[in-house]
Amino acid sequence: MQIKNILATKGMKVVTIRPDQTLREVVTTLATNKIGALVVVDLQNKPVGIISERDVIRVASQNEKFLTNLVRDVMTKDVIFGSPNDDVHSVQKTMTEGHFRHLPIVEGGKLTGIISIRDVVKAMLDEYAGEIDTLQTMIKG
Amino acid sequence: MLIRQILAVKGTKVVTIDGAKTLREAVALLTANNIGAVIVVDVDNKPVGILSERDIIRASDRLPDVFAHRVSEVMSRNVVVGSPNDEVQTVQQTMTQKRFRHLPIMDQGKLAGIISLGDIVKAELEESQGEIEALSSYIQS
Repeated sequence: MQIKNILATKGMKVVTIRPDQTLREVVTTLATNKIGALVVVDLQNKPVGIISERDVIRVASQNEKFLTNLVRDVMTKDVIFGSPNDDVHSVQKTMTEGHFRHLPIVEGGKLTGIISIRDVVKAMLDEYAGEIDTLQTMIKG
Repeated sequence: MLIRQILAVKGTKVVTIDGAKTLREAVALLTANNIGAVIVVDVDNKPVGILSERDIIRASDRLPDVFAHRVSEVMSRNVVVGSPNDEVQTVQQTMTQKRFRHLPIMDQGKLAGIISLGDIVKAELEESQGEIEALSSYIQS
């Protein structure tokens, strides 16, 4: 199964923020959209980073005035991006080993979606359940 | 598979906090332990709530001077708890439907561990892969 199959059910909506916005705007956007991370994009809508709840909490532990910090100073910059053609199994391995929960999906330099580890494992478990079903049918003949 | 099998590998360590402590202390605790949620306990070490990164983010969106607030004001109450004898698959369904990521495990009235959705799906994926392998080799033999 490929990432594009997940995007087809999940939709392509990605909530973004710009590097020069503040953490105050980040917490409001996260809370309003009930999500755990935002993709940071430049003026050309090109993804340049990601900012998660964990990133915000870490800064908060160092600086009580964290809400005035800028996104660019807090975001994770060396973000791994996925492609719609990536296989879900390799994506799951990358995300588990890299300990990150959100993978922005890029196609032709454009942001086309975001996948969470939850989406990936749900797809895999569904696939495995189908496979187990098929094998059991074969055995029962 | 039962929850106790996951706990046997993961261990029974649980990071807890007293509800009277401030969010300043909670944030430091989360960061120091590199975790996403902490169980809030009363004087008898009974869980009375859970405080996650998300709860803190939402609180910082709505409360000025968020660090001075007490954990008990911000935590999620009505926490669902699990037992070591719960079936992993049932727990996964509950966590997915009710959209929470951390489940305190109680054994004979005592806090006996904490399970994350990540632990659950990791166990489920391994179990499914094992089942597929067993069925495949049965067919080939």
